[in-house]
Amino acid sequence: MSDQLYFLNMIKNLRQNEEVMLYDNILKFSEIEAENTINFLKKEYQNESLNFPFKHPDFDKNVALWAAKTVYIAAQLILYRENKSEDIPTLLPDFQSPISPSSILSADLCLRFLPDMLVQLKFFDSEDPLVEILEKILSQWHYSGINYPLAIEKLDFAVIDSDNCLKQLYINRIIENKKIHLAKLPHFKDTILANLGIYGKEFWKEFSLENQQV
Amino acid sequence: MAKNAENDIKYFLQIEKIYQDDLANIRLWQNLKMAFDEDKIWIKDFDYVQINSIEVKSIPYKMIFYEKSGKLFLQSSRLPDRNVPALLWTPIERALPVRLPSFNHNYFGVNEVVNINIISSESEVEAFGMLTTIATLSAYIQTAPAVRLQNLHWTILNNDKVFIIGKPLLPITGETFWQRKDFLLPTGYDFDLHILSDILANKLNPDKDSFVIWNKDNTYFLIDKNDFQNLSIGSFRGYVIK
Repeated sequence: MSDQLYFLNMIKNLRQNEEVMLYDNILKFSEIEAENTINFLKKEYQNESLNFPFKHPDFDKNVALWAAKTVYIAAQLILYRENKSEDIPTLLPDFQSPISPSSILSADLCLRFLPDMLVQLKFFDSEDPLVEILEKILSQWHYSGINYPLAIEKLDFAVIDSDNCLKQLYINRIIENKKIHLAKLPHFKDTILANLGIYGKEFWKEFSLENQQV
Repeated sequence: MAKNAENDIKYFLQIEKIYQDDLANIRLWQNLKMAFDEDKIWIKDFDYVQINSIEVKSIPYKMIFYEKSGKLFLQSSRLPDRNVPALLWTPIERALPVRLPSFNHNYFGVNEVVNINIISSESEVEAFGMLTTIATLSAYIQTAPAVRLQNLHWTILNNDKVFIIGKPLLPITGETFWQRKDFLLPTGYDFDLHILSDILANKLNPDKDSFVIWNKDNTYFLIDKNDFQNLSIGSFRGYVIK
């Protein structure tokens, strides 16, 4: 049984061991497998949401499946490239419905691994057209790309601002990765200063020094 | 900044050797050098503040000089009195050894008991532990930023209290404790006889596997170090809300 479920096994392995393991060059999978993957991701989301501050948004299964597919296909294209580069956009479609806090957090379950994959891909071939496509996905879902150097001016923070839980998680990730350019944006600066409180120097010296000078 | 000219003047003090014991109060000033000249004692390198301090003023039968270009002038005199004596100078700590009273071999105070008391203390130490209620912690932690929780560990006591350790602590109300090795003492308090704390630690916590929490009424309780786990929103919800 398990030798059939290439997609589900790859996602499970990615979530549990943080490793990409591909079994074969197969870009299609069955409805049942998609269903199983959604159930698995839903459980993972429930576990993670225990750690979310405020009230966590609901799980969005469509976007979670889309993100899992994106990561799976991106991994396939990085390792076994048999398709022409013109086919890549059709293999990696954009997500069609509007972005909401719940979709950002559901997609993040898998998309958070994209930055590391991108680094690997650039290592193989930095001119690859896949780089541009994945970077475009990341700058749309930039909560997953905080630790990747994206063009900050182009990011849209309206959805992030709309939800307490997501905003706090976003800030946690900025502080964890010490992304000073994001931290200096007016959307986040005051909240980060409030989060650090009088312990700014202990937690994040660079950021608190910059704010003293101003 | 201009140098304070008065600080450049070095003062000398001379005293008869028989009054040596009166120097006990200034023995702590490590900048001083001392020398013996037959039945006199010379001490040099006082600065202006030291020579005008109560410790020096309370030494009887002394003579104070100040030095200028190799000559010694009596204090408040403009006439040189003598040359700087050429002596073998040693640090005052070494020149005046501490003499302990000899041990009383006939004293057997084996039945004496020392009471451990906790008294309020002046010294300021950063808090390391906090005892608070689940309700108080819950109100804060549901919206807490991860950065404030990352250094903290916690455990539950008696179903309604929690004990948090780590620095910096959370901005919530609770009783705070400071750390001396494995002892956690109420902030603002210390042992009456704090020199005994190592001996006490060996008696109460011989394996060093627990924290000893002291209350202000001189009682204590132990918390096993393995009972503490990382404080995160998830760990709190997992234990409390379940």
